[in-house]
Amino acid sequence: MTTRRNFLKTLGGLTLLTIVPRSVLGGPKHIAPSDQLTKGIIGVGGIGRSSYHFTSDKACRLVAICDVDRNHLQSALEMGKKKFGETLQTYHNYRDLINDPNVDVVHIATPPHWHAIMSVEAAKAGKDIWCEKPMTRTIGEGKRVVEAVRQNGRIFRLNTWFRFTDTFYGLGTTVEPLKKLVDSGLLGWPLKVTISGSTGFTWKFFWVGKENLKPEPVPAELDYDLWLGPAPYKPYNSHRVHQTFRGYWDYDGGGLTDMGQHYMDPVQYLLGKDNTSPVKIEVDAPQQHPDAVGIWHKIVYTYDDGCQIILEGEGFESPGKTPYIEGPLGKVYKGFECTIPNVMEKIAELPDPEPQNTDFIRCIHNRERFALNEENGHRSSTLVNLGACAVRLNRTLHFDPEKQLFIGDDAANRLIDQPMRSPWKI
Amino acid sequence: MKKILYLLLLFLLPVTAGAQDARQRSSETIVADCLAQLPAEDSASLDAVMQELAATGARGVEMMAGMLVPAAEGKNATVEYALSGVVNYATAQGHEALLDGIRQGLESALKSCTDKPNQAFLLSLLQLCSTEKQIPLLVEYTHDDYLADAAVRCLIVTPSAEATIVSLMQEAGKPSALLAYAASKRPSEGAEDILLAWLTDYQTDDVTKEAIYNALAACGTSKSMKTLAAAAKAADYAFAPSDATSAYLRLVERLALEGDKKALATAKSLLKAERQNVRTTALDIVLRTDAAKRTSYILAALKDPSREYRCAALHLADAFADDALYAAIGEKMKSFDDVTRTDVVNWFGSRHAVSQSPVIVAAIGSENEELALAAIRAAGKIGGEEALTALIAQLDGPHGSQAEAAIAAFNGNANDALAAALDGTPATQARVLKLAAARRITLAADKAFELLDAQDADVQNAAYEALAGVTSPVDFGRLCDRLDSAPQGRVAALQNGLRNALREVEADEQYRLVAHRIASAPDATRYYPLLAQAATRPAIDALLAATNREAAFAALLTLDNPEMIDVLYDLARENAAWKDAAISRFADFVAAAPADRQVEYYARGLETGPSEAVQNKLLRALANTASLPAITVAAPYLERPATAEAAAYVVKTVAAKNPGMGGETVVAALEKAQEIYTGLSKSDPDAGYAVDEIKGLLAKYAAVPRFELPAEEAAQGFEVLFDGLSLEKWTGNKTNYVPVDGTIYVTAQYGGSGNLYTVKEYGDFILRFEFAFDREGVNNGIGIRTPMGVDAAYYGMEIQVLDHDAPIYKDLHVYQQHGSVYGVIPAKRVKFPPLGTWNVEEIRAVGDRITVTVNGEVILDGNIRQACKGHNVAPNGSEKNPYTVDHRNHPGLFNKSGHIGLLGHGPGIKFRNIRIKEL
Repeated sequence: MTTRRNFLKTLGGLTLLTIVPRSVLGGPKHIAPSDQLTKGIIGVGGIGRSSYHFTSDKACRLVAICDVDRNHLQSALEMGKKKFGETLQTYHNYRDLINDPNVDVVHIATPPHWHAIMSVEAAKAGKDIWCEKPMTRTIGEGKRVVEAVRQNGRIFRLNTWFRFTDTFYGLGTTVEPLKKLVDSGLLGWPLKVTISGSTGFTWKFFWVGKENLKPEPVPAELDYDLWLGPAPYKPYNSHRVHQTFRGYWDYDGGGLTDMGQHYMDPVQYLLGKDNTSPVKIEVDAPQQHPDAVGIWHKIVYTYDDGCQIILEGEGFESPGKTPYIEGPLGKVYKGFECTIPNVMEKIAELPDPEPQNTDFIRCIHNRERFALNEENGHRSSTLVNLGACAVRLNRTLHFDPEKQLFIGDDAANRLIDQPMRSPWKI
Repeated sequence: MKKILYLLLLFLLPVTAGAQDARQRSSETIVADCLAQLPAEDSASLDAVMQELAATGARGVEMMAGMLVPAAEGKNATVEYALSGVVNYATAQGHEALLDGIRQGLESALKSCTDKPNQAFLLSLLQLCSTEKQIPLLVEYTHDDYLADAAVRCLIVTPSAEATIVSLMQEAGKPSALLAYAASKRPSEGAEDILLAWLTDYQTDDVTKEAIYNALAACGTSKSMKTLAAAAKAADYAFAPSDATSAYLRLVERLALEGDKKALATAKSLLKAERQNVRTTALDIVLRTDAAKRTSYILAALKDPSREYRCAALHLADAFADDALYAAIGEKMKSFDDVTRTDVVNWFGSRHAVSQSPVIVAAIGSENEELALAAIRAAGKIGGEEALTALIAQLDGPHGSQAEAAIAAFNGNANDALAAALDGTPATQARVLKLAAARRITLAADKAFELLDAQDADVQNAAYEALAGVTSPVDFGRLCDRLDSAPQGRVAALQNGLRNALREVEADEQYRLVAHRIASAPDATRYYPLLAQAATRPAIDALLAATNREAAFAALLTLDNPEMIDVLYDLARENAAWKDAAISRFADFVAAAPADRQVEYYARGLETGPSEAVQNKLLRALANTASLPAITVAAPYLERPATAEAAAYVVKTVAAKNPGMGGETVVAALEKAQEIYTGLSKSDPDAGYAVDEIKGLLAKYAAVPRFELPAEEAAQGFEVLFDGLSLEKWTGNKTNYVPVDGTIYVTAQYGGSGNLYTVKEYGDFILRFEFAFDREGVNNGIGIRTPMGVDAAYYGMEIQVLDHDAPIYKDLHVYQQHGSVYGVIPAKRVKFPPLGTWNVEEIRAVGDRITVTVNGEVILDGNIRQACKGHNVAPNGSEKNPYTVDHRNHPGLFNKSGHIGLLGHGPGIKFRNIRIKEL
């Protein structure tokens, strides 16, 4: 068996490149090297090579990249030369990047089945962490990440959109006025939030897997064993990996765990549910294949105080005009259209929402916790993972937000904590 | 009463009989029936199918698993759906009785299956439902190289597996990372000695060592401490291969929490470790174990030289922080350095530690920049009068802008205090004016007006800016007075003040007020933005008639009224310089227009030829219509690089909402879009998914049956007019006549208008086709020898197509029945088969003779010239102007040739297999 350790030897070349020591950088206009952070990106085949994340600047310099696909690594290496004029340190094995003393921040941009292991190990190595969504693939993994980040005193950021300053899809507003409106009590309580095509959110329903995959030879550039890591071994097929991995339960959960994390995370913030989770999850979905992720019609999350988050799948939207937020006293539609007259003026009279710590770099320097950190990030990731469990089993699930276990459902609980393929662990 | 019961029984009987029947079916039949229904399309049908399948128990599971083939040799998906569905169903609450059978079935299936990946799949199903009973079988597979991992994973989740894991370790005879992992997940006492022996008796690699250390952390006792301590020390407490440090710390943690004094002492000694994260873990252990001394540990931690450690300690304290702890820390503030103070103040703020308000307020005045700013932020978060007073006092200081931000989000009502602060220093006044405006404190209006003439320029500016928030209708007059005399630089602020003042006034009243002022205003243009806010039709007209056209146009761009769609369209065409701005704004209104008009509007917008940016905006919006004609509109933009991506997005989005619809035009557009996304996918991962999605959409079209002429008709020279996909031989209303599943389907969904015509004209011919009604009362017609765009029934001929049996047609004239030459020759009344059935029709037109055959029966065979006889009472007697049985003028009745047309756009009819032979 090829292991994560000895595969490295067979690769050759790539890891021998040397890094420019931080001490020779600088010049008067530079941030002092001790203040300039450095980061390494794990996974540079997809979002990790996007212009959002493949960045290098005065505040945080990109110094290292890691990928189990030689072609991805080579291409990112060239991109680094072109974009920043830098020869990035390249790694095949993420542990080597995590242990690189030149790296301060580990940016995890791999498929989700790796997020927990890499987060936990980066924390153990004393690194701060930027993790792409969804935070983890199971609720059990999320709990462990929370513990490891806390016990190692790290700064952790889960990266989603909309919670901070980005304009909400469809709604044409940032989250702030919505938060202000919700907090004002003008809509009453409990609230029902509907995330649907008709409220301006589109699901990537084409992020589904394929059944009847035929085994294919593993391409020479890919270390498939290390790509799979903790995931169960299944014969290679190109659709499992790289741009289409979201279609398989072993690695992710389709549009729900992808866009779902973006869409639901700000709702958790709006409803003030950053410290808890829903108690009931109901689904209406076609049967799911045990390997390939499919579509779903509707998922309803209910919190213990009656607040609900309703996800309507593309093509399964409620007829007519659906409010994004509905409370006993008022409704808000797409485009901040509200049934309460002059609502913007009314909320203007109230305090703005408490400022969030949204500057990750500053958080690292000052050791302040980022606004979406391992704890509320885990709750947010739990939302999508609860949905995935309910969709896979195709039944209503009851959840205990304190114990973070399903109630009266042994099979569902076996999805919360899934053993990893040896020798992986968290 | 009896009668009701009897009726009820009658009703129930057949159902009961059916249920009995289901029970009597053999497992083979049930499995076959159920597999045919998979995957189930929704939760309800899934439950129904799985209930039946699960009832077949072990036999059914075995039978289905027997159908699995090696993946390279066939397709397993349906069986996988079935097996996984059954397991899911049986694991649900209330279905426990079924589970044993299912497990037995999985066990036998595993034994008889020989394909490793399929066995691994069956093990993954067992992983959801295994019990102690399956352990012996799982143990067998732990000896299989391929399946060991899957079997152990299953074992790990199986109840009471601890002893089995230990005995497997014993039997292994050498270290096993896999079994060590199992022991770590299912810790038991027996494992420790074996794990320790593995370490001492064998040379192991790092990977195995790591697994063993990890297992010792989970199930070790004080016996393991020495080993792990040594390993961690050897790694210098770093995160290194074999991960010994983490294992060591976790063992210490577990034992300490279990009450092991020595472990607690070890944790305490680790508080002095060099590495910050090791110290942090140790502190966590100590805090959780030694609750009585928590405060002193936190205070000690705050003296640590590492900021990372101090902040981590505060975070650990979140778990138990209370006012007593806050007070203890607050009291020590003086002994901390400024960086620590900053961290404490930040922490107090995030905890909303109101009790520490004095500490925070005191820190606001610190000379240390970071500390002062942290205190300002914290003061805003904790709220309270003391904090507010301190923040307001900061408004004229060096941290005024930060204080202002903290007040904007102040935890509590700051309005009264702000109004009072308007009498403060000029710097304070300027900032308070800003806040008063943001908060819409109308009480501040008088003071704001007074400060419009303030000496201090900053205050004066702030007062003007504040008008946008503090004004109300009572200020209208004084605002207008100032607007009329204001220097240009103040105009915008006064306009904003006016807009705000009138915001809640009825639109008509707003217009009246503004129009009245304009009449006497020295410069009317200054009121244009107010006309725009009124947004009534008279306001629009006033702006359109305005003398300063540029200023009026700028105002019109901000005006919110659906009527602006037409206004902006006209303005775009009137002035090329206005085109982009006008069409861009036009698109905003179209998005809110009735759905059935949107495509047409967007198309019109595109036709004005705006810039590429605006074209892309229109295209993106067009995609939201989800309306099939949008594809036709977008198609030309696929060809131009600057708009290709947006156009491809339209095609993909719209085609996805109308799967299988639209025929060849859509197929061609999808293929082009696929090409575009393939190009994009090189740099954009999402585009790769789009390519996949388009492939799926195209597959639906490939599946459409294509009509081919029967050999006989081919030999006779028939020409296919519609083959199921292509409308290339047709022209006209391709909006309502859409290819769907091999038919031309008439749908009113998209609100187009007009008829569909053949491109070519025909004189004498045999036209053959099939049609089906899918709802009652459908009305359509086949135009023959007709020009386009006129009423074929009079300017050509219409062979009626009508579901004439519908009750709404009970008063129909015979010459309006299906198959009639409309208004000229009545057809024999056809009795139509049920809705949805295909009818076969032939229309033969040879000179004046028209013959119509439906479903094999000739229902009309007549001569149009003879049919006019006796009715030919045209006032001028002309044969060219014949009157007929319907007493109407049919000037086109004797046309020599013309188009064939499908007439009428009411929904509910499908045509297919249309072909023609010219005679």
